[in-house]
Amino acid sequence: MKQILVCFKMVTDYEQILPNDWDDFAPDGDGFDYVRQIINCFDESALELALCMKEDFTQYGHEVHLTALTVTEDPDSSFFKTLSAVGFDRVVRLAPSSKGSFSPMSTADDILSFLHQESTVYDILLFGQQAAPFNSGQIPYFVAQSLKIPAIPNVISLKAEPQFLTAVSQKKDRLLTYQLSAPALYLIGNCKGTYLRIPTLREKMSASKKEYPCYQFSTPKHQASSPKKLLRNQSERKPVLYKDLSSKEAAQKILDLIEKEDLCRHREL
Amino acid sequence: MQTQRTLKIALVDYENSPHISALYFEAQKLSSAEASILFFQLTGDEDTLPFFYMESLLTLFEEELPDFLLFPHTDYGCELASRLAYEKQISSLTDIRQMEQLKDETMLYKHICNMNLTGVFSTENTPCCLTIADREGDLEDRSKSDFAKILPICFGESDEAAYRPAASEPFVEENHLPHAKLILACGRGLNKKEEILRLQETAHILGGEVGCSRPVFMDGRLGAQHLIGMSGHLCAPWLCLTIGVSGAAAFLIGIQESKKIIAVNSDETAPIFSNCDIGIVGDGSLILQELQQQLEDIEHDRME
Repeated sequence: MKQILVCFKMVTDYEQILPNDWDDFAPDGDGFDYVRQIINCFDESALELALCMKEDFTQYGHEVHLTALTVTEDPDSSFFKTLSAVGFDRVVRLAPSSKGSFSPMSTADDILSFLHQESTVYDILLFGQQAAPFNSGQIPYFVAQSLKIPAIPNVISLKAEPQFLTAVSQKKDRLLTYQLSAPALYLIGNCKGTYLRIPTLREKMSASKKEYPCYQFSTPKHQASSPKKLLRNQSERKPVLYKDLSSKEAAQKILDLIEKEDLCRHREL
Repeated sequence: MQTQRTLKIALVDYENSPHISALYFEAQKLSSAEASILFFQLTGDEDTLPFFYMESLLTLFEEELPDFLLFPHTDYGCELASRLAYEKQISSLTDIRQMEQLKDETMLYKHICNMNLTGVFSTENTPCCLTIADREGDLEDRSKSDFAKILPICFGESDEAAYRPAASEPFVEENHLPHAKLILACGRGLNKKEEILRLQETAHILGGEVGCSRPVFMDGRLGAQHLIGMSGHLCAPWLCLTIGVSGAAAFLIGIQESKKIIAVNSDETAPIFSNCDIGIVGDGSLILQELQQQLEDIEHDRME
C-alpha cells in the first residue's frame, strides 16, 4: 500500500487585517479574531496533488492511504471534515510542544515524533514550499534531514505513473523532471490549477461523524525566536487618486505618463 | 559566547555563483578586524540534490567549527542551511534582508506575515546558519585570495545517481520580466481570457512585458514567467501599470522598486491605491480597451 503524508497549515489571512491594526500586531498574539484563517496556499496545492495522486495510483492498481497532518493549538475541526470528505483517509492534529513563538525546529520535532510512533513508513511526503507568518521554509528540510531522505524543492507538477512518481521542479531558468520510486519529500511551489476540490453534500455528510485524533508529544526544547521589533513595510509613495475619469480620459492619462517616462518605442505619442 | 579567538565565518556556495559577492559583503559586516572568512565550495552542479552534500558538509563543519555559516537564499542554500542546523541543533534563520552588527549581538531583518512586516531578530548564539537574500547594487567581485581557506564539499556519487533529474529543459518562453522597463500587470480583476489577450497585445504595442498576480497564474491564464511577487519575480521597471490588482503585500514586493506605479482598480479601497503614484478608480477592462484603441489609432495615423 502506498502511504502518502501531507502536512498543512492554517494561517491568518493577512490581507483582511485593517491597515491601522498592523501597529498592534504580534505574530503569535491574539486580538485579531475578526480575521479568518485560510489554508496556506502552497499546502492547498499539496493536498489537491495528493488527491490526484491517489486517483492515479488507484487506476494503476495500487492501494493508497492518504494522511493529512497539521500542528495547531486550534481544536476547530471544520476543515478536517472537508479533508475527510474529499478523500483523505485520516486527518491528524498535533498539539504544538512549543507554544507561541517561532520555532520551526519544535514543529518539525512534533511531526517527527508522530512519524516515529507510527508503524507506517511513508513513501511520499508533501509539504508546501513555505508558510506564513515567518516564511522560513525550513520545516520540510528539518524533517527530511531527520528521516535521511532527499527533498525535491519547488515542485510545480507531480504525477503518479505506474512505476514511479514524476516531479517537475522549477529552477530559476529551467525545469527539472525527476522520476523517482524511492522515498523523498516534495516541497510544493507554484502549481497552477491546484485549488482544493469542493466536496459534495453527500461526501460532507459521510465525513461529519468521523473522529479527528489529537496527539501531543514531549519533544526537546529548542530556543524559540520572537522578533525583537516589528516594522511595517509601507510604501513611501504619495498617491494621487482619480475617481471620476471616463475610460477615455483614464486611457489618455496613462498614455501621457508613458510618454513622459519616455518609454514607448513610438516617440510620436 | 565568543572567547578571544578569531571569528570564523564560512560562505557556502558554488564556485562561480552570482551570490558570493552578497555573502561576502554580509560576512564583512559580521566580522571585526580579526575575522577569518572561509569558502566551503560545493562541487558538482546545481542539479545535485543538497542531501548528497550533507556528509561532506558535516565533516567540514566539525573540522572548522565556524561561528557563522552564510548561504545564498536559494533552494539549495535554504536546504543546506536547514539540514545542517537540524543535524547540529544550532540556530538558523532564512531570507535575511539586512544585517546589523551590534556589540554583543547581530540583528537580522527578515520579511514576515506575507511581506506586510519586517521582523528584527537577534542572534546571540553561535554557531548559526543564515541564508542571505540577494542584494541590489554593485558589489565587489570576489576572488580566491579573499578567502582564508577554500574547502570543497563533495557529494556521494553512487547514491546521487539515482536522484539525478531525468530531463532538464529551459522555459519555453524566455523570461524578460526582471529587466523590463515597462510592465503591464493584471490581477484577479482582469482575469478573462480575452482581457489577458488584450493586455498582451497592448504590451506588445508599447514594447512592454506582461506580469500577473498569483490568482491569475493559479487559474492558468499566464505562465510562471509572468508571475510577480514573493513567490515569483522581483521587478524594477521604470513604469508599472497594474490593472485589477488588489495590492496584496506579497505582490507589491515584486513591483516596489518600480520608478512609477499606475494602478487601475474598480475598488477605491484596494490596498494598491496606497502603494502607487497614480491611482485610477474605474473599470479596468474598459480602460484597457480604450487604451488599446487609442494606441491602435496612433499606429494607424503614423502609418498613413
